[in-house]
Amino acid sequence: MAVAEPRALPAAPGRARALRRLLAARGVATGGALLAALLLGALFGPLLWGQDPAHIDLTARNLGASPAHPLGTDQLGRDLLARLMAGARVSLAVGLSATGLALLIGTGVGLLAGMVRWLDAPLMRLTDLCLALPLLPLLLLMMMLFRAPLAALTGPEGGMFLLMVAAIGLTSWMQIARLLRGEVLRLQALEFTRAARALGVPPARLVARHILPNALSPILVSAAICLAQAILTESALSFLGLGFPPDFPTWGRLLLEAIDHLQTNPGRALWPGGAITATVLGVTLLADGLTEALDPRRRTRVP
Amino acid sequence: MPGRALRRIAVTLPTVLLISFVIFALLDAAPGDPMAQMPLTIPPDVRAAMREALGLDAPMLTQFGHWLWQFFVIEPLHLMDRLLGTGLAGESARVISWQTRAPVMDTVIERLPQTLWVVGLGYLIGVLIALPAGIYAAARPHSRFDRIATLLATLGFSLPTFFTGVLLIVVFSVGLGWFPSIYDTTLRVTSLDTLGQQLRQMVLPVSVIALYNAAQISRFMRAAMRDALQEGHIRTARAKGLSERAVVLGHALRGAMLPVVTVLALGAPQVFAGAIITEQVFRVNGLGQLLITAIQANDLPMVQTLTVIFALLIVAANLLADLAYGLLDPRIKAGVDRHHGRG
Repeated sequence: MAVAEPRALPAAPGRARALRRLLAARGVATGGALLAALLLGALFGPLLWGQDPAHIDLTARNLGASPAHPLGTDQLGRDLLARLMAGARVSLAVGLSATGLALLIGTGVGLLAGMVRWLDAPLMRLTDLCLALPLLPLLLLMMMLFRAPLAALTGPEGGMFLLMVAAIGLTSWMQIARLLRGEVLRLQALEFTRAARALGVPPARLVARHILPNALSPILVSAAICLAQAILTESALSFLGLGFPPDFPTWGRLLLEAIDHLQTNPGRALWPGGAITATVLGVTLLADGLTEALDPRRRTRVP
Repeated sequence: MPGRALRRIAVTLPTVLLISFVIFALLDAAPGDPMAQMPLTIPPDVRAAMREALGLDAPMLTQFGHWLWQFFVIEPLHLMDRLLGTGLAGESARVISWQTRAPVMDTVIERLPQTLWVVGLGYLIGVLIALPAGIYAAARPHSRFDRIATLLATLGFSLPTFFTGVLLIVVFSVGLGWFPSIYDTTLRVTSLDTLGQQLRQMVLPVSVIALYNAAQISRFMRAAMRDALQEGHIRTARAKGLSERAVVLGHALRGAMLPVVTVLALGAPQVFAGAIITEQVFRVNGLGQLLITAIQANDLPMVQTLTVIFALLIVAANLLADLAYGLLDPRIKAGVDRHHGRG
């Protein structure tokens, strides 16, 4: 990868340079700051604010912003700031778990297709087939079909969480798999993997030691994009009313509830929508910066 | 190449079958039952006979075969009868909605124009904004235009359609009162006045779809164009002393359009599926809203038909993109077949 080095021995200087370049890019800093703020808000916000997001106070319905309720209250008098922060936890948890699942499947399929010759064609056909499925309709379908049985099994919220993570994870591994397969094929043609193979390194060690570390950056970038998509999908499903149960706050659900009150309280829609946008924007900026900084063709160009 | 095209079409058929089967199998696992709405007073033996008459006892593969025949042979025949006034289909049974007890396809055809108008127009406008913006931004990297366009594209890419829709409603319907927030599908265009009304109510949903697609496609167009401008033959063209305009539009654009054509073709059907959300926000009663109401009403035949239609659109777009690639890429014409899956 590092073309200019006469000996490609230590990886550390190149990595440090990439890191420095990464932090120098404005987009990465902005994206990182956005995501960090959101994560901190989701993790520690509820502890600091201390209001119960489910506490109903019918004497304080549909209030505007005030010191007691900085973002106002909803139609049942629940504090919107507390609900927004509780929603952040759910949305981020669903997004991260679904991305984890997609990474697991995508890495498995991509590695197998790249390493095992006779599995390549069938696995790639499977990937193409899954890419040709109408994902949003299918997701809606899965929500409809499996909501009741899973809810009976593990309770309405836990069941929905599992279903959401499984459905999103199962429908978003394809890009990762295709990308990783391409990387594996490219790396296998390079000198150092051929040398390792000639020395008798078993395939499992070859993958762990030489292939995965070198394919890490494209995987990270596509995982970041997958995270953004997963959060969007979860919000979209909740927005369509096919996500978590109605009293359970998620960003999409809060936005859906705000729609009925657009005439009286238009600001209510801005917070959950803004939170979704900020998350996706942060992840996109981060992924763009990563691509730009790690792409060897663009290395000389980044100021 | 005709051989290559035929091979691609031949591969498409099993894909269609497999996707239909996946959807069918998924729905077969559903708890819904067409007999659920029958009166409880029906004796068990009559009930069993009715189930048999409906074909519910048959093995799943037989049911799938029946459904395939109905969907791919009977329904097109009915469509032809309707369009041409022929009598090919006769009295053959159609796919019936459990909700309305009417043929599913009739409802689909009723709803199709709304979706086509709003979604199709939105996509078209998005493409018309995105292509020039992406090309211009790539031709002048790091210029002010490029930076603003990239910023807007990143922002537009991050704004989900259900939020842009709500934002536009807050600003333009609630705040300024310029456009209606709800799409009135009962409106018949009979005069200039109603035409104006129709156009006004289309503005917001069309803008939402156009903005989202413009953001996505312009990002892609810019990246493809930047890659194309780094090729060796571009350096040669510049060294020959060609004007920058001729280099960008004459030489780089052709190479850059290849991946973009694929993205455009593949994006079109996804827009149909994605429009489910936009239609829900603006209450456009198109195909997307039909799917949502069918899902909520557990109307399995309707859900199945719509999902398969969305899938067929995607498969058709894949095929078209591939065929277009064959026409546009001289390397494929020369017989150097590209490996599938490596972009």
